Amino acid sequence: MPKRSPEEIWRQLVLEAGEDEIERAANVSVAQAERELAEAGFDIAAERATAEALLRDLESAATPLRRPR
Amino acid sequence: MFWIPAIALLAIAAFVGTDRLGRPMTDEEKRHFGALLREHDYPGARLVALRFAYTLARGRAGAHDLMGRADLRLIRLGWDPGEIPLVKRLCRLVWSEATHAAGETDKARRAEEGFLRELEATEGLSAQSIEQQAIERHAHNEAHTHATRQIEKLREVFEKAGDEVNLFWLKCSLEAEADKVPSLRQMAAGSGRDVTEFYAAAKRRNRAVRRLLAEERGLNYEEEEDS
Repeated sequence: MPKRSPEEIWRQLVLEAGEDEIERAANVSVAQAERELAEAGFDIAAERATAEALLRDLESAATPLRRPR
Repeated sequence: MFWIPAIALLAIAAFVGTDRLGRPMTDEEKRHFGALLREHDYPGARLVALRFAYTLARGRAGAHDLMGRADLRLIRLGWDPGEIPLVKRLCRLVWSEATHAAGETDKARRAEEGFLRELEATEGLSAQSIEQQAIERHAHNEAHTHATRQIEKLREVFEKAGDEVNLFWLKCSLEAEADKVPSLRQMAAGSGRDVTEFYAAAKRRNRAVRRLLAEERGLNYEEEEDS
């Protein structure tokens, strides 16, 4: 079995280093995320529409996938 | 018999991703994955992940780019709701993309090529040309060089700090065979140190990595030393 590549080791290091930050980010409520994104100038309705489009593409199945924005 | 439908239910409760499938999704898999994402409020979870992307990218365009790549990774790498909530899965993918930690295998690349062919059919996007493949190979080589350089910087940090535990961790990590990477407990036993020293070292190591990542992004890194 070969040794792990530097990329694999660095990837592991980066993911471990980010766990706390990821945990904090994931614990934000959807309402808070919407509020902060709106304050930053994001169009929340458009963001939701993008997500819905992906879901519709998947659920209608026979239609090939659209690239998520 | 109850266990047969239960096993069947488990089998469809997760989506393994096109990397492991080694091909694009079938229509049935798409429908199943779509229903799974909807059941777990993908639009809401995506907003939380987009907020995270915005904090990392520090700009709307960068956040959209990060989120788009994380969405693509979700399809490629899949998701098991029994293992991790969707919102955390998305945030982790955003972090991976922001830090260029998301790696890919040749099999994964082939699966993505299948996905790109689907895009070509609907969106008029070009499947990868030979030139594009050459660019990707170059990117792969750059990733190798970058990782090697970052690990060397990390070693320098540990050497400068006289952090022998982390130097030992690094040595073990670099020398171990891929399927025999020792646990912290095994490293502790091998070094004759207490395992708690390795837990403390992991915190220092994480801080050092975050500092290197911040430097890469041109940011100041300030964090309290707590061990």
